[in-house]
Amino acid sequence: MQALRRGLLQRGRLLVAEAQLGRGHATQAEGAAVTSKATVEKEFLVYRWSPDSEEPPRYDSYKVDINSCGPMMLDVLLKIKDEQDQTLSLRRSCRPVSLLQVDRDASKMTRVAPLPHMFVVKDLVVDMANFYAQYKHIQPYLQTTKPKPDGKEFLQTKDDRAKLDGLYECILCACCSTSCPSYWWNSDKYLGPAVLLAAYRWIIDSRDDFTEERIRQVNDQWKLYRCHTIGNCTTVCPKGLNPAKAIAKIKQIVETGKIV
Amino acid sequence: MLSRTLRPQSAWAACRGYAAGNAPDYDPDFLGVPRNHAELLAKRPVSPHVFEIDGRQPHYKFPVGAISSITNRATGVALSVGTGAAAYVALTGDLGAAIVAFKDAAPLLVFPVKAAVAFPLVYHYLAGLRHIYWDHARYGNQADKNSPLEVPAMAGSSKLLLGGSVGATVLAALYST
Repeated sequence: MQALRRGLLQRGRLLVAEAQLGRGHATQAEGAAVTSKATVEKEFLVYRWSPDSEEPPRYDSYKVDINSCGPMMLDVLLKIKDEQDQTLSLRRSCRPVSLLQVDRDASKMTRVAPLPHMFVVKDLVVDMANFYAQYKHIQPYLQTTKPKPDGKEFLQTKDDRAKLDGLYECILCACCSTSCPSYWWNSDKYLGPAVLLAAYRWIIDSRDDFTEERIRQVNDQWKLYRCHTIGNCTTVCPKGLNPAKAIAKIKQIVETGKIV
Repeated sequence: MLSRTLRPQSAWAACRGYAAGNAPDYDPDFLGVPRNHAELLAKRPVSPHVFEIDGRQPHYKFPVGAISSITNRATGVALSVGTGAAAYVALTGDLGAAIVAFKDAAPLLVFPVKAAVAFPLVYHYLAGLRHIYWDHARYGNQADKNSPLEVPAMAGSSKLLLGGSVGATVLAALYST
């Protein structure tokens, strides 16, 4: 889990590393001497399961030369898919913002598994239907009763805009919700850190006029109060967001009746 | 709202939640969820969470904050069970005499048992105080990294809580009149 945070901090290196490796093309032909790198084999254990076969889930071992591959975990998985096993299934929506770097230590074996406690569709692809339905449930869009003051846009002070920092960046990757033990045991009724962060994002948006209704909707034994401040969500967020703090603030709003 | 169809099932199965196959039936017009979604879910395995697929080794290293949280829950259960047992002995017999009899019968077990009684009391109380503090702290904006719920603050407070409780337990177990 700490690797995710390390990836975030070292994100700047991705652009440099990609340029140097040239992504398989001859961008090194700038006259710079290309040193042939030694082969460094690292073992990856990847979770596999197919709905077509009757076998139970298993881990398949792949050895990859990480010196001839991009630095990110996604690069490794795509390399495995290209060269070793075309049947490996994965989602790669994170491609533009891929943040998890591979631990360069070749003596350590790395385990690659799908998001925890989700129904597995195939290999590393999980069923996100419940997650998206819960997100839809909190109505994640601006709802106003008043028309725009100048007919063009809703205005907001800088302080009010600053309240949205750390909330709007959520990419709905579901890392937080799937790391929360409370969400594991109650996925159907507990909304989970990602959705509650989104709910809070709309609660404290000064342009939204349905704050009371949003709070009343989320104020529920199951939807909100299954959170016991375990804190896994904040630890794993690849964008460095803090759902635990957002949920604590929703609880304070519910208890005191004042927006904090 | 998530649509649910009423399926005939026992009361126990009904309260078990998503992982036991109680997935609600989603609207097929929403995000292209297939019409046989419930059947597909019945066949799909759940990805590893606490334990690996062999059920023996842990799937990942739990952060210290999560360990402090589950210890809080475990000590809470231990306190409920222990208080109930002590109350039963006190109401049906003589608790003081039972303790003295135990001390005479097994003097070597006195320190471990005192520690086992002290740890839940100390830990649960301190963890509870930390939780009350979290509930009432003044939080700034989300981007403000100075709150007690940031990653380093949580990890630090968890280690302090666990270490401090162990220390206080040892002191309490060593104390004797």
